Amino acid sequence: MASDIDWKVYTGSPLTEAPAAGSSAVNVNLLLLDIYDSTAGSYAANPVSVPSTGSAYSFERVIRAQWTGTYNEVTNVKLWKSSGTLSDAGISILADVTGTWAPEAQISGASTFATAAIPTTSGTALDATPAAGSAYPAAGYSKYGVMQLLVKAAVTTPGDIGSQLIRFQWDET
Amino acid sequence: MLDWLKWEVSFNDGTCLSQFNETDVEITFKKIQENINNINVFKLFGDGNSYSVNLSKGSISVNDTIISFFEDYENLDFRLIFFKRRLGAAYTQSVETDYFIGFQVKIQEKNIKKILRITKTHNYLVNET
Repeated sequence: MASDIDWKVYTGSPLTEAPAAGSSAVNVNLLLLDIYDSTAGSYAANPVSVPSTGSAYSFERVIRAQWTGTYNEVTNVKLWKSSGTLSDAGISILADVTGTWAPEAQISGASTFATAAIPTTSGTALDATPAAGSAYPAAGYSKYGVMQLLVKAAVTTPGDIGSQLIRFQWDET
Repeated sequence: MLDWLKWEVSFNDGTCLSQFNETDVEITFKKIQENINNINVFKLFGDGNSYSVNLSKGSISVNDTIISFFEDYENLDFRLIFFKRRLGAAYTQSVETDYFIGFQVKIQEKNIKKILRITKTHNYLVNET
């Protein structure tokens, strides 16, 4: 008995889920548009550039895991970044999780929600366990993960930061 | 993602339940939870080894090796611990699975857990007290 997992990206207001049911997102690229970068081609054309002063931000990227298949219970859901090098100390990925994501819209200014750097160890991981009552879902979701790329004016080595390994772990019966 | 071990359970009344019945239909773990207080032995198998927890004696076994934790277990209430830990990554569907089986028991108001972690390459005790 095992679950299947699909990744969903949420954009717009009200939130629109992509890709369609039964499909899984292939990336969670952080860029200057509030879109799901389905072809992985938009991030290069819409990068977060180094600002002359202050800080620049990507749009808040909202994701969620969806479990389908046959399973009994999902608990202890963890999210953290385990590897992947950022090119400069002035570049960071901010992240947090929430059971309900209902702002007017994702923003490309400083997020008021994802304000801390994404944890880099499983012991300090964000807890994305769905709320009580989701113990035996037919098709359950994790909490929303909200991420944002922060680029400070002090960055001296800009460029493609490359892939970051965002780990996702859960316990299942 | 595929599970690489299957479970089998025997209850105190002598009845047994397998993850897959005689017609290969899969039974949900919820069926075990419905009778969770009457489990005698819970076993995992499928990789050439057998891993089991005896909830009457508070012991864990790997093949023929029995690890006993208590000499006097008659009046202790051992409760099953079992889950699969899935490790993947955001935007990928590839997942690794480790299995955790064991028990918890309350002794003098202290909750003691004994857990065996089973990976594809090795297994080891995770002692939590």
